[in-house]
Parts: sequence; C-alpha cells; structure tokens
Amino acid sequence: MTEKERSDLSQIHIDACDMGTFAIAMLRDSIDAFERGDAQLAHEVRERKVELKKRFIAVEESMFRHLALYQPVARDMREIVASLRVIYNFERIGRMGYDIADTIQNLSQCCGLADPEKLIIVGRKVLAMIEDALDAFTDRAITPIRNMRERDSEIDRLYCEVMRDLIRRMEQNKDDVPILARYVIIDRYLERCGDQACNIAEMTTYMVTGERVEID
Amino acid sequence: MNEEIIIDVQDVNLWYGENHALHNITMPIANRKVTSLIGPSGCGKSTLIRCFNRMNDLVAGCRVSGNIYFHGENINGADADPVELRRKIGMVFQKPNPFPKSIYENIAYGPRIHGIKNKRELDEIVESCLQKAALWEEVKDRLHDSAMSLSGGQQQRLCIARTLAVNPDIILMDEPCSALDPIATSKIEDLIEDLKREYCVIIVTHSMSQASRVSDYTAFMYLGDLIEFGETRQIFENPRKELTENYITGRFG
Repeated sequence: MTEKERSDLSQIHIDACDMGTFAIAMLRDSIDAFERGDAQLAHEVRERKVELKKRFIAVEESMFRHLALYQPVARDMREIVASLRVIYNFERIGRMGYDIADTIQNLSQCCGLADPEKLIIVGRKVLAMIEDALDAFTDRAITPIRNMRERDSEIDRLYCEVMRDLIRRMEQNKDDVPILARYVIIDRYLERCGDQACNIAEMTTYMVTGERVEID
Repeated sequence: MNEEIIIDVQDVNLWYGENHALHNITMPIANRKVTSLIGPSGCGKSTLIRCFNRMNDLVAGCRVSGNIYFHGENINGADADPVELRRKIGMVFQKPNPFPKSIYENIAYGPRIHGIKNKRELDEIVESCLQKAALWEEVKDRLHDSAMSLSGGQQQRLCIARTLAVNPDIILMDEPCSALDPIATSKIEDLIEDLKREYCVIIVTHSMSQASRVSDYTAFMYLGDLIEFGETRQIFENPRKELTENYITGRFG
C-alpha cells in the first residue's frame, strides 16, 4: 500500500465522518426547531440542503476514484464499500431533517404548535442512536452499537404508540387534523431515521469485523 | 470443500540442502477449479507447485518429506512414474517458451513422442488444442510458420495448447502473465476460466487482482508456511489471519 493510497483512504474516512456530523446537525436542529416552534431555525435547516448534497457527491466521487485507482481488498475494500452505504444513510438523515424542517414551516404557517412532547422524546432517542452509530463508524469500534436492535425496537414501539395517540386525537377533534396529520408525518420521518441508524450500525459492523448482520 | 479433491497435500516439507523451504504444508486442491498460490517472493509458491509434478527431483540437494496424493496415489511412491506424472500434470512457465519449430510442431511434438503417428489424428489434436487455447482463429492459416513469429501473448497461449496436447488432468501455471501486456493477460484469464470446465488449474501469481479474478480457492504462503487457505472470496473480503490481510492489502511484501 502506497503512502498516497493510505492518505487517500484516511481522508475519505474523515470526509465521510464530517458529512455524518453535518447531516446529524440538520436532524438535531430540525427537532430543536420543532420543540421550540422556531420557524427561523427550521428555515436555516432547509437552507442546508444544497450543501448536504454537495458534500455527499464530493465524498461519493472520492470513493469511486479510490476504487478505480487502487482496487482495495479485505479491510480496505470493506471500509470503502461500507462507507459508500453509510454516506447514503447520512444523506437520508440530513434529507429527513430537511423534510421535518419543511413540515414545521407549514405547521407554523397554518395553526401553531400543540403538545408534541412524545414526538420530541422519539426524536431525542433517534438522535442518540444516530450519534452512537456515527461514533462507532468514526472510531471503527462496534461497542456503541451493540444494543442497536433493542433501541430500534423501542423506537418502533414508540412510533406506533404516538401514531395511535394522534389518530385518536384526530377522531376526537377534526379541527386539529391539519396539525396532527403533520405530526404523523414527523413521527414517520423519525422512525425512518432510526432505521438509518441501524443501517449505519450494520455497515460499521461489516467494515470492522467482515460479518454481515441484520439489525432491523 | 465439497468438490472432488484431485491433489491432497499432506504435511509436506522440502529442503534445498540445509535450507528448509516448505514447512508442513497441508492443503487440498479441487478438481475443475482454479487454485491460486500467492505470497511474497521466496515464500515457496513455485517450490510447492513444482512438487506436484516432481520437477524438484531435477534440483541437486533437494529433499522432500510428507505425502502428495494425486487421484489417491502417492506421487512420491516407489512405483510412481515421473514421466507419466508430468504428462498428467502439465506446466506453463512465466516466460513463454515455445520450441523453435512451427506452430503445428509445437503442439504435435508431445502426442508424437507418446506414440501418435497418424497425420489425421495429429491434425485433429493440433486443431482441438489450439481451439481450447483460444488461438485457432489467429493461427489457422499459418500453422507451419515459426512459433517464434507469434506475439508474447500468443506464444503463451501456444504453450498452454502444447500442454493440453498430451491430455493432462492438471495445468500448473507459474506466473503465466507476468511478461504479458493487459490485453494478452485478459485473454489468458478468459482462457483459464474456460479451461477449468475440463481441467484443474493451479496458478502462482504476484497479482492480487488476478488471483481474485480467476481463482476459486487461494492459498497464502509466507516464508515457507501456508498461512491461510480458503475460498478466494473469503480470503479477499475477510481473511482470517492478520498476516494475510496485511499482505493482500499491500501493507508488506
């Protein structure tokens, strides 16, 4: 392995982790904006969509170039292949942060916010899962993601619980439907972000151990 | 391994004088599959494949212990015939080495010394072997030209055709593409893929990508030891030994 190849691989890992940090910040800020009813912050998150895509394409292209130039095998091949999947997961997470922020803007335009506590709890738990997945990927260490299956099951349970509650409230008061329907959408986005955390954990496990695992 | 084992190497050691070159090598070789031997220079790859057709017998001071079974028969046994063994286990070398004769004679030579004199029969063998070596279309109109007029890649395919002419079971290839350009190399690799339908192919290569492209099984050797043997996909995706991983990823060698 040449010094150039080693340095290229290290830079790709750094860039992939940076992209993960950027995407998670979009999701975190969208949840904060939702919690505080902060339309300005939601607007700022939406503005980051172009930068997210730009970073995704740049890292993806550097991975394609590395594959073409060096044809890595074994752990180097696993690192590139896993990273290709992981940056896609990060891109989805950032996009869902954007979608939540977009939904919040519509919410504030129509009726204002109403008791979203349970959704905030789901959002914080999902964020913690994604942050642990990023830590594991960054450090190439699978300890932080060993309990990901249980955490994802909890998210799935909470998602269903919130959904049932929202449907019940919609049935009780039809005037709240425009708001609550958007809560349903946010609930779904958060549950899917939990799935993305599991995907990152699966790929990180493959990258580190070579073993294929299925978490969700 | 579920395939038929054509060569069973058991606890083989080899010494060149005082130099202990192979240490307790044990591995199976599957029939109608391609097995690659990889490892840094001097690790014993070529020495090992030369054991399979007893070419090391020709090296002064060389001593072998352990057993190598070919179709269940010990090739080092008292009643083993090295000449017949080398007919059944042919070899292609790093540098193409056609005889300084015509293309036709390069192929016909082996069958002729094994007793085939009939012209029509020899013609059929020559055509069939050149077809199998994917060379027929390129040389059918100049069979009586000198083999030395062919390009390096064509000469190497001619050498493979020459090996096929005596109806072997196994083809040993010792870095067969190291002197060839990428186009000629890809033709040889395509040919290896075709040959494994009928033959067992064992290839020594320094090209990791070639080993991963052409072989079903890979053995990694280091300083005379067999470090790891397994399915090529497993060796190149998730080797079990750190030494293998470090070698194939280019961290040493």
